[in-house]
Amino acid sequence: MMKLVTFVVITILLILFIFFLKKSLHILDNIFIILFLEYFFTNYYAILSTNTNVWGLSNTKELLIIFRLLEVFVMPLMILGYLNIVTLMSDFKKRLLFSIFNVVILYSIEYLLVQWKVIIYNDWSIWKSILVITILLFVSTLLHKGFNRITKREEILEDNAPSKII
Amino acid sequence: MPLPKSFDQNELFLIITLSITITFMSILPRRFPLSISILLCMFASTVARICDHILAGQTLDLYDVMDTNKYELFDFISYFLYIPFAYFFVYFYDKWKIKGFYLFLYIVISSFGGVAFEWLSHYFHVIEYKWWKLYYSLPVYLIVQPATLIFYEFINKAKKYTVLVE
Repeated sequence: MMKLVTFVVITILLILFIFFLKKSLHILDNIFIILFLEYFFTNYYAILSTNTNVWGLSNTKELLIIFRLLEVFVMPLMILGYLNIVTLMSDFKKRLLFSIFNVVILYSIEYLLVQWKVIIYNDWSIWKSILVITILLFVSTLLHKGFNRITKREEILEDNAPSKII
Repeated sequence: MPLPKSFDQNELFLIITLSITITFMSILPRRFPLSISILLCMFASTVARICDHILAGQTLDLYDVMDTNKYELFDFISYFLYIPFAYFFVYFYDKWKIKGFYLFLYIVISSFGGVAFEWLSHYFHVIEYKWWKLYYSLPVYLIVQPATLIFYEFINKAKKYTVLVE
């Protein structure tokens, strides 16, 4: 039960952090990214755990709730937070360092769940997870840029100018 | 993603329904900006995906989508089916400017329509119930459909009242 409470606290803190974070992206961009990430993670984890069995999941209800929190809240919100912060950075080196830092943080959360036996690696390794996270950060950035181009064309946004809703 | 065990009525039903609805969707006069249409489509399929992932996933396993409990290629395709239905639902709501009691009627009729279509999907073995019953879906539609309209109003307002910040 201690593990579940700890993870629920982490999730709530993360939700609060994202809620109070000054968003650099437009609200429509944020919605677009979160919808994409939710769709991605539910597909990705289903393929790993149900289809290919390279991941095993714990049979305990308590631990499975932790896993659901991870895929529905924690991972998508972490990446959303990352994109809102990284777009504020103009220097390439800073962006790169921050991206590496995020890959480490995202993997650390997964590693915590591996240690708690929520996730059991069958035919999987750390490097595969790190590779997927890195590609996902890159793809999310690209998709955001694509959607941003559409909103700019529709004159919702001007370049990368942050905006607010009145 | 696994391919279907045998290409039979459920796959055919899915392809035919998708072709008809998407054709109808494309011949309708354009009503929304591209960004709003993209978000509406993503919202519909993501909500359906999250619901199925939680309800039909290995934790609860209340029903199966398509032939097996694995995440098949046609499971993935089945989420595209929610896109035209959500689009029509919002399209006619916006076109006819439905308000007040008529909006209540619109949501109730659409929810029963959703249950009727689900019965048809069950008849063609797109959905195979285990512990789930068809009438359990009615409250789900009664929640998801107003949520879709609230989502539409929200993104529409976010688009209209965006103030550019220097």
